[in-house]
Amino acid sequence: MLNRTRLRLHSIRSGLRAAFLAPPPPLHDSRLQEQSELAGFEHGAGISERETLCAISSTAIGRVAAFGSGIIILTSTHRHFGRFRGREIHVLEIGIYSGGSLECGATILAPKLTFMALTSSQRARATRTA
Amino acid sequence: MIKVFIGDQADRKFWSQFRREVPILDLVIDDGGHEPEQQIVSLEELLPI
Repeated sequence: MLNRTRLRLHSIRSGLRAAFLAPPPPLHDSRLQEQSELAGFEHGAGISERETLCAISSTAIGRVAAFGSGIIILTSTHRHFGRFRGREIHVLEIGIYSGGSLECGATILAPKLTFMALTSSQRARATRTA
Repeated sequence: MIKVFIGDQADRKFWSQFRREVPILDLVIDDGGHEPEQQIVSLEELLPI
């Protein structure tokens, strides 16, 4: 049991190290970069311009409470699940409110992603289903 | 592909229907109700992934 826990911790640490060491794609748009910095986003986190744009658009349509929340979702998803980028993966997220984190997560993990979302909220019906 | 299921995470019947429809899962992010009962039922019904 202890060995399995150690192995899992080692695996998580390796994944996080790989995510942090991955070279960050540059932010070309100065407006996006400015908005990201305003939100306290650390550019070295390795999130692309496209992903930043997703956080902005999710905020604009009210799926994420604030732009800063979108950036936090992106940064966390990248840090913890960045190693799954491009792999075929089946994710279940329980509690999605209106689907903002789903969109941001799918942006990072797409295109081989199957995202299952569970919610008690009817608001989520508006979330994109394909 | 994104698929949304609407239900109660503390409902074991809901989970058994869900698992029939979604037999394979690699990652689970539980940001749901945060009540102990909800988390315990979800974990018991989802393990082993």
